[in-house]
Amino acid sequence: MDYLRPQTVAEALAAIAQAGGTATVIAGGTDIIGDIKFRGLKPTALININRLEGLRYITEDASGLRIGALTNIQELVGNPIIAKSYTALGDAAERFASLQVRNLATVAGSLGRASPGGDMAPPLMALGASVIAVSPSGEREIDLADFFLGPRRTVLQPGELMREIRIPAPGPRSGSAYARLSYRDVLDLCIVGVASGIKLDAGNRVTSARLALGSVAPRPVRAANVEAFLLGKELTDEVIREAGNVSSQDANPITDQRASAEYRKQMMPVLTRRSLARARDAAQG
Amino acid sequence: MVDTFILGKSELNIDAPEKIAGRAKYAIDMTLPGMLHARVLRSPRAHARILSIDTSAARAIPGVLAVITAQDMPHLEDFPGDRPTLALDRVCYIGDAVAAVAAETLELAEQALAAIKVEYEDLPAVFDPEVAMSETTPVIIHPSGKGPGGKVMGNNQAHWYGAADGDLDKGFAEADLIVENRFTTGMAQCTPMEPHVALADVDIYDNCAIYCNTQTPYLVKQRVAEILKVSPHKIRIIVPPHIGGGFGCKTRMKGEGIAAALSRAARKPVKLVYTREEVFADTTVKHPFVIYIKDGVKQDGTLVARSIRAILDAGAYTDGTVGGLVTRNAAYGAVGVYKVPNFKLDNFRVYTNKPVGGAFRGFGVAQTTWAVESQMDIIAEKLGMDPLELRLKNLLVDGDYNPEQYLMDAVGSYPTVQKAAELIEWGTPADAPISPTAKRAKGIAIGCKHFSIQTSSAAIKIHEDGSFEVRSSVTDIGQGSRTVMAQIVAEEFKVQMSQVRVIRVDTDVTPLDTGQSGSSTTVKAGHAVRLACKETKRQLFDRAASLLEAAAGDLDTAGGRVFVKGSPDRSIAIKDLFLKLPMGAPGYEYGPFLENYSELVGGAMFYPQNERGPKGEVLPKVGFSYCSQAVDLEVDVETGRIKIHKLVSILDPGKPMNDQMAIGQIEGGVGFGIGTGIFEEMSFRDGKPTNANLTDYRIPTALDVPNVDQLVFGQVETNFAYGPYGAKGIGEVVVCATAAAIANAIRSATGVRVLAMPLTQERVALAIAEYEASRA
Repeated sequence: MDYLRPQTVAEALAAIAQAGGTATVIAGGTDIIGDIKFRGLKPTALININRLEGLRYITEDASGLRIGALTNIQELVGNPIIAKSYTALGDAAERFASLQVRNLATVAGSLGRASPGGDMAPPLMALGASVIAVSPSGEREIDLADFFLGPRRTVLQPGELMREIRIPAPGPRSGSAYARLSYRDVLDLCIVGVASGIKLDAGNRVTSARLALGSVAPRPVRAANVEAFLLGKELTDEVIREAGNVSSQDANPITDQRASAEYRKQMMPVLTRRSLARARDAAQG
Repeated sequence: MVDTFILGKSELNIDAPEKIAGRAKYAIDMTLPGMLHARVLRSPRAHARILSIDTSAARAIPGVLAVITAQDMPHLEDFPGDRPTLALDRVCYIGDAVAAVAAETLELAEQALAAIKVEYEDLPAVFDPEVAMSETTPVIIHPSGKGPGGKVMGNNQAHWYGAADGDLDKGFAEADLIVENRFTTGMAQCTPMEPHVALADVDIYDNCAIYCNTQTPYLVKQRVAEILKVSPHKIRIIVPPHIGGGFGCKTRMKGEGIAAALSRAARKPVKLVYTREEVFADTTVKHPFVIYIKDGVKQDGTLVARSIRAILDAGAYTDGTVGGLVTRNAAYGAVGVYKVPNFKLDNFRVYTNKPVGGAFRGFGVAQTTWAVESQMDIIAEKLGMDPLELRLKNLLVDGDYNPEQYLMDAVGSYPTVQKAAELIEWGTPADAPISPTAKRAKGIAIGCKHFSIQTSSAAIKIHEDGSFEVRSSVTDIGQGSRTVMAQIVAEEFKVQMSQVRVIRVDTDVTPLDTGQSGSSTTVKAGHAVRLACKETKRQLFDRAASLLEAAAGDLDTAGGRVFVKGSPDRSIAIKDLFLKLPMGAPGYEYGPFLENYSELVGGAMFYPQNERGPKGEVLPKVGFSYCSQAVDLEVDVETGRIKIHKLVSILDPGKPMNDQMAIGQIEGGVGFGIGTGIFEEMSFRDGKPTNANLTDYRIPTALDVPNVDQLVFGQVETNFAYGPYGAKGIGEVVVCATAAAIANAIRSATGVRVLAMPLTQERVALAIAEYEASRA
């Protein structure tokens, strides 16, 4: 196995191109190393991008938030901008695995692995995030809602690298939250995760709603039925309760080693309600 | 403990400095020059005939020095003889060992495994013990054992144990209320931090040294001798002083036999380290139980009849004597606490095509305690009684015969449960829950576990500088036995702990011990060391008597000197009992030594007598220790998550040997009880483990168990005359009551009674939803 450690994005793209589509890109490695050690992954080339220059930043301007692809999860934890305006992402970062893993795992890497239960995807989808991908032929922006195809599969083409994650500025009277359920508070994969991102008008009516569900489908999914149900309604406790029930129409979870389909179905409305209630509180903040 | 020099006090655990400094060496750290690495090929089939094994391609790989199959080691387990070390012509569960290889690198060993071709023909498999023992089982895995009256039992029934007292029919006829329930428990793994390790080194004379982290060195020595078909004197088991946990799954031979056979084939040292998946699937697991319990009670709460039928899921084989022992020991969990005049118990251990059930902290008692202590609350509720009051009304006390005919002595149930009730403020309602979707309540349960009283031996050597060496084959899997043995020697000779060294277990040097299981070590090794001290003192005093011009019987020792009782000025330093002889030239001398060139060493063995019931029944010698627990918790009624606000654990240790280490057992036991009570359960799909890793098999972290403010512990001492210095075995009783106390609190909080353990949040949430639906 070849092991390469390029210093710039251009070098990385060249190395990936040279490996001819069989290269595995690694940054934090918290997932890939497990695949290599325990799940039979045998890459012909391992391209470690964690030293690429200029890809580790969190910046905000009028248009919104930009997160460099090599920013690690721990850098999100306690970031005052994220805590104030992108709360769902902060919620997810705080509960992500453990400090040791958070210090290594990158935000973009977590998206790239396209795990159905990955904790970065639902909050970023609820915040309307997109991914900037680079390749030798240029850059493109991909809405995260269109990014995931299935477990371990995304729309990224061979030879493409994620460079940045962008989140549009949420604007006034917006709020977001991520509610996730696991057995342990730390070091435990998500059983059901629901992220909500909402905007309210002066009468507390919902003018925009994005909800995303994790661990209940082969890929992170938007809760289209809940979103449609909420639009234009005053966000009362009763509406939140009903929205929880509507969430059952948005995914059909399966049984696996972490939880039964029955339990996941029962928890979708619960977590939908909890994340919506907290998003509302933040919006009204 | 009255007036001790050092015993009972919180002496520093002698393991602590090395562990804290990160310098403790474990078996997994061992290497030998020229060492090869071993891997084991395991069955991917739950039940299949082996049609052929072709190892030729694996043998042809350069750097692969040994490949073995059952043909190289066809020996079966000694008792009951159902388990080959490597599969003969059949595999009986996913993970069954089929072949093994040793190679210069682990990567080459992996390659060799992949190159072995095995042809299987699937056989029907059965995974549910109640199906397996029925007339309609799809398959017979092994011939059945013998049951009541010595008759061969029904399908797949490996072991039976029964106990009875009084007249059950008469008891139920007298009862005002009959309560029947079916409880279940899940399969769990001990998950010691250090996996199983065996580094075997067989020389050309078949002398075999094995460095390993077993809990039972002498049993391993015997088994390896049988596998290699050599005299046991050629087998030397060496256990490093530090072991990364055991909890039962390192009892009896695990990988040692395979490593030894590979080493003999290659004539090089071979190291076998189990992967975490192998620890899960191919060491031994906690037997899942199905427990049918039927109780008859009077209106005033008096228990008049109890019948228990427990079905133990054995898995595919029997781990030697452990299978029968768990079947037998499970009964202790049903008889140690309450008076039941009319009683019957039948435990059946039943084969299925799953990992093998073996020793697991609690040894069957944790499972029956779960059922009995849940059942007591159910009865109390039906009678409209307080569950504590119902318990107190039926307690066995000193001088009673229990339903198995043991004469009860040093009973600790009353003081422990009273203290637990007091500290949880039993009788006053719990505070309001913190979460708006939660309900909060308290629960209580009594744990009682027997500790088996077994055989151990020890030798104490006094060195020429007056320091002490302890030779014992007791392995310290974290329970602190090395410290306690040193404390006993320090107590007996009235010296500081720094004067005592406990050498590592090495069966060429350290004497017979039956192994660390069943909470047995403190009592048997405590006695053995005490007796060895006595013998060593006798030799010491004989040697000093003439020099002090006193009778040996009038001598005593303290602080490295022997003195005449009552005349401390007539004394001699122990080191002055050793001689030095001039070698010729001044300044050169031999010694120090004893004039007969011997060591000053005294050895002793402790072995128990059987116990007798009132009609002369022969019963294995055991004692009973007690640990009552009470919990104040809240349950999120939407998610089923449990948050423990306070957990009280009150232990009866007899007299603790080392106070701080007894507390350590209570703290660790609570974590273990919560793990198996709430979090841990091995799951399977068609016999294939689906969570044999530490990502999906959730052991609690430090954040998931009560912190120092939430855990309230205490000890109440009882007078256990049979114990060394009054000590009882305590390593397992501390885990027995937790799950039932939690289940009882959940019922009080939510109205939902969960009959299946562990009480995972999924199980609790689904039960609450079902209950709410039934009320709507």
